Amino acid sequence: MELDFDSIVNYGIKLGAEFIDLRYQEHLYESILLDNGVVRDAGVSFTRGLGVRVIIEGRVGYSFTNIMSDENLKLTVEKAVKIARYMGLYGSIVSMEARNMVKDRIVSHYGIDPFDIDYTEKIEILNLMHKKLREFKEISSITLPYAFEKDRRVYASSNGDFVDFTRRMIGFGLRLIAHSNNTYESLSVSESTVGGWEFFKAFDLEEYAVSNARLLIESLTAPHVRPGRYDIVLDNEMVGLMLHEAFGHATEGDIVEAGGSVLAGRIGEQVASELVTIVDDGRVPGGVYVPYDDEGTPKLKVFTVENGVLKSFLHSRSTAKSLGGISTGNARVMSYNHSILVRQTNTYMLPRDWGVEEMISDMRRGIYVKGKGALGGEVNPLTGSFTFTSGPSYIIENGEPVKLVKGVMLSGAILDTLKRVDAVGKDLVVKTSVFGGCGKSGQMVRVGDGGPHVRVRGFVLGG
Amino acid sequence: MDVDFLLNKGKTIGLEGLEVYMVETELLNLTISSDKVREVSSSKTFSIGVRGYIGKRVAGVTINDENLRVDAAFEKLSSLIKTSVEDPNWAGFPPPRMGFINVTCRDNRIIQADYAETMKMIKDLMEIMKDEAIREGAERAIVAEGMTRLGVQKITTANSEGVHVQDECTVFSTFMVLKTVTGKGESDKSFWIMNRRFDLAELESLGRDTARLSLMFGGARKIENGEYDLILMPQAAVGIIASTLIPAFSALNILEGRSPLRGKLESKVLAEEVGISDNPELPLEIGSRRFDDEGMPTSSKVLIKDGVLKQVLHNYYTSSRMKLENVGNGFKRNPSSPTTPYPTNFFVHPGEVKLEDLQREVKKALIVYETIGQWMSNPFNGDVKATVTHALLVENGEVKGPVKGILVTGNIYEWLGNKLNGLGRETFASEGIVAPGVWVEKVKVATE
Repeated sequence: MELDFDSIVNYGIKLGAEFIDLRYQEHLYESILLDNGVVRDAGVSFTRGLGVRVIIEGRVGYSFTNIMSDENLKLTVEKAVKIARYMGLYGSIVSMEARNMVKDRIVSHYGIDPFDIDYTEKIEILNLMHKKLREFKEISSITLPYAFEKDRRVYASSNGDFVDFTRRMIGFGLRLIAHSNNTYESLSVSESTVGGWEFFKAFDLEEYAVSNARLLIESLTAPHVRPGRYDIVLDNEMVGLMLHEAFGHATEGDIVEAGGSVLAGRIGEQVASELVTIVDDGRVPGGVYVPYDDEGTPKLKVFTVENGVLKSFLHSRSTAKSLGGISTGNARVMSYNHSILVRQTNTYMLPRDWGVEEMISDMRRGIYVKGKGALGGEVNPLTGSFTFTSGPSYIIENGEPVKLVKGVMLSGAILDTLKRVDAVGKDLVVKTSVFGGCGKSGQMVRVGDGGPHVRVRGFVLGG
Repeated sequence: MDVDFLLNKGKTIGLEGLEVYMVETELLNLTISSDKVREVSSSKTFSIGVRGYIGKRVAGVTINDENLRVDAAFEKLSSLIKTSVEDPNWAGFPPPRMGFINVTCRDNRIIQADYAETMKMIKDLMEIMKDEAIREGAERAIVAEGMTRLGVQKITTANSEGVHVQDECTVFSTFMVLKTVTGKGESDKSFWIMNRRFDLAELESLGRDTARLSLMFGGARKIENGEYDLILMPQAAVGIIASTLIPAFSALNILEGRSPLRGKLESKVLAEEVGISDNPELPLEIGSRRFDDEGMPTSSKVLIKDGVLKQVLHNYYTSSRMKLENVGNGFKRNPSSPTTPYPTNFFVHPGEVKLEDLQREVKKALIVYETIGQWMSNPFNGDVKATVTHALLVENGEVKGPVKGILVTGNIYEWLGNKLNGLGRETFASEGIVAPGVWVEKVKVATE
């Protein structure tokens, strides 16, 4: 049964709220984990809940519940109002940029709803890969995840907004461990899309499993990179990771507003090489689909950096107001029971005109840093230090990738690294994941990232 | 939803066994930005996981939707089970066991905290941090970001074998980032703690330490690549140990070929001075629990003694598979997931060394206060990778100043093995991990 959003909004207004908005969520997450041939974890999670935000005299109060009785929903609104009033004593004043009323209903594109597919078929897909992987005697552990997510979010407000958006995502992965002569190596890879069951038609699953197994086994005996500074070529996945960590977080308006970003006060400054243009876009193919944020604001395609110059931060309605920007549609929550944070959607670099081989052949010595098997990254946006890992990568000698090395950790400084970009490829790949996302203040949201191949001079690596 | 009703429902649809895991949570969450409490939220939620089996086929469903009909949830559960693949080692759910220890997991200061009082205390804490920074010489100080969360969780575990236990525990977590400006430039330091207590005196002490530390990292300089001794302060050690060492003690990881501790029982795996135990009895830490997520009594146990591996962590599945006693370490990722072996409180015993003594003795070392990216280290082989964000360079016993742009790599079994030079006497506890400072010799360091 659908909630009566209007009556909840009206109740908040009756209690004295100057503004009230509701974030309603129905979330379904189906997962299977095939662990060395055994279904270790097979399950479905059904979640439904409501988040209420009220503003009274510029003070914000939030309250959340998944106990959906009329009585408890009223209590939830009352709590939010009570908190907003208490905030008058100790809290800060928040104001929000005005925007036009929005009404929309969107369902992301899919062909076949994975929830309608029999479970045996899903297990069979994982089994197919498991059987192939078992042929490699060096592999001591084969863990294969499958996941499907259906996330319906309804946003309603006293402004008259009503946005009803449903997104389906699906994916699978391999988490492999190989073991030889007391040496263990691991490789974790996954593929996801916004879509339905038809996703699997795009893959030769056995070939996917075999190629990753071979890479892992080869990396067992590969050497570590000697720690130091290298010229590097980053592949599409690594560029995405670097941009998300090394730049994206520091452009998030709430971090900038708090005084926690090294980019604060630098709009208009050259912060990267002229070859670098960075975009945050909720609709790019391959990425996570975010047509509206969790404040019902349409997601804009934001050029945070254009030809190396810092152009814009990412905003919620309140950071847009306080920092003098426009609402970019980046106010996001992990689920109904979280408060708004400013988050990236899909962060990527626009392509230029270098071919990948051309970029590598133009180097005497360096590392071709590959993203397959990368684990993610982390940043301290205040100091500008960031770090991320790669998968097994290649040493470049005399313009050729000649030797595999184990995955590396890369480390740099926001205001320095992107200035060292001296070649940007013409290939663009953006990826997302149904298995994870980006974590911030205890909230994980789905994101995407990517870009073309990029060459960076003098990057610090550790093996 | 009533637990007995759910257990009966499992029977009526023909399941051979059913487990119900229910969490009811009430939380208060404060978000801090630029010295102010920016937002406060309150939440009251529930989550129920049901796991069932027929023969050796198992599956689970999580219900966080009050309107979801129980019939529909069990219909889905039944279809998942029937289409699943047999686990030849499946042993069912555990029968009830006695022997629950007394554990303090409930702090009345959290139970009784109201919105206004909590906001005031957090505001006061921020003022204390800033005042301390100014007193120590900062020209300006600001709590740039932060978050505090506190509340109560009621956990109920029951199964068709007769287990039915319930406990109510408090939870608390906070982090704050303090930015200071001195003549040397801008600097920052953060602190993060997660446990089950709202101890303002403890928080004030942490806040003052953070304020003093925040002044030490302004004007950080670059150093040369090479080998340095590392003195990991307890907070930094906790993060690295959590990522690299803890998963290796899981019996499931050992059985499934994912742990370097496989086949090492009663072998020396770390240096002689290292002792590690699993201790649910520490008061008001996150792992302080009377029973695990299978309803089995938790207990204190020695994992490493004098560097020798004495025991690993089991849930009912692994203890049945290895025909060993269940030691109450089955914990869930979400309510309907299976348990996996995990520590209650992972306690690395302190040593005798004082930081000042360490400093005096070292020739060339980094004192590491904070790292990022340590969670990307490899628990399957113990390889450590971390980027150091806050560190001091020490040469010939003298602190030379803050340094930056440092990436450290190595292996935890070497760091706590043949490269270990000492364990500090002070410990830090957060997220159910307690660790002392760790002094490691000759670690590879890459720099900008």
